[in-house]
Amino acid sequence: MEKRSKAVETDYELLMEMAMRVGEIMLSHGAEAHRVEDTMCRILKTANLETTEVFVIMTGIFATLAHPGMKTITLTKRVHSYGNNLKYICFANGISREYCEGSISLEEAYERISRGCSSEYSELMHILGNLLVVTMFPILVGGNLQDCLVSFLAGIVVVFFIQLGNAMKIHPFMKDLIAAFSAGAVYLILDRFLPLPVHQDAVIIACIMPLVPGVAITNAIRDTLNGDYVSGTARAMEAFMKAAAIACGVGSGLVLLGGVF
Amino acid sequence: MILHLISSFLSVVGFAVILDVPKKYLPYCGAAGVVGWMIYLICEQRLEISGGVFLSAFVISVLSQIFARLLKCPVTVFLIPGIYPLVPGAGIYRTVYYMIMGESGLASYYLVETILTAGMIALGVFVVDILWRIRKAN
Repeated sequence: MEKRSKAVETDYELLMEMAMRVGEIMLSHGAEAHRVEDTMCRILKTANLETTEVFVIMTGIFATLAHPGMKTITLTKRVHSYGNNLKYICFANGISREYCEGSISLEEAYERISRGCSSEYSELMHILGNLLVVTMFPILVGGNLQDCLVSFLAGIVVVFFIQLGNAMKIHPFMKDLIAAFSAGAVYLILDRFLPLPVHQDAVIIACIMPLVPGVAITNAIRDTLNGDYVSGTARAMEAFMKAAAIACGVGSGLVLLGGVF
Repeated sequence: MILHLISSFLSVVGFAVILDVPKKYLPYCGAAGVVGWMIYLICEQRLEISGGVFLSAFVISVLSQIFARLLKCPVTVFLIPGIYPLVPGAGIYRTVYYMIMGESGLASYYLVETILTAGMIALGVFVVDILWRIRKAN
């Protein structure tokens, strides 16, 4: 009897650990707090215990499982943001879905979530993705094909700085600042030396597009509307800091080099 | 118009690659992006920017919900790349540009526009979230 109750207990701990990892992966790769809470709750509810509490804010997760006659399990996890990576959210969500449907066992789910997943794209593909955005975006903000060409050339430099920043793991604020600075600077240089009339707006906007905190802005307001005010404010702050970095970068690039040319 | 079609599709796919969307979902992201952008272009002239952005975000969100049900994966995978062309990158840039140029009137005009656009995107997404939950509850 003693042995059996112990086995059941470890089972809950494993469940807790599994749910925590799922939550951590989702949260650190840019899911909204509400979604993480929902997913973790669903996993923990499969245990059919009396109390299942999950509390998620943007920088941490707290979860509790409790039942009369059982030792209460509570875990706390500090979560650091790793930017936005939808592959990971997809991966964690898939495991939680399969587990809740009952098509995989707890051990298997835990094993798979611990193994983690890796990006489907090589560095080169990421660079090409960035360049694709930079090259095609001028059209969407009122540019023409000439702007696309100039934007592509400027984009090569900007993407180089983005990748360099990623590789050197420098502070995100500095990374955005440097990349945005290069966008402004390279535009001015190209404008000076290429005999093509270009729309300044279209080219620079396209160049900063890979840096723009689109996910953070949207998640900030979604979290706020969902009533997760702490996460909403944190995300809004994140978006604001990124926007400020981009703004300072472009601005200083234009002003500094504008003086030279 | 055709140029817009092509460039919105390709740039949304580009965003999807940056955000590491699994390869098999890329065409769906692109499709959501193109439909959203077309709706934005059509509505923008008649309904001001905010109305266009709201409707566009609404439609992208509905499409994302449908794709997510069909392909059994989170809504975010289609939603975030899809709405990227609407994200006010231009607004951020123009706000700063006019601030530097010393035209604070224009700067605050674009600042308000940026906040409005971001708000409209989120509102469009949120309304669909709510409608979907009501539909599921019934």
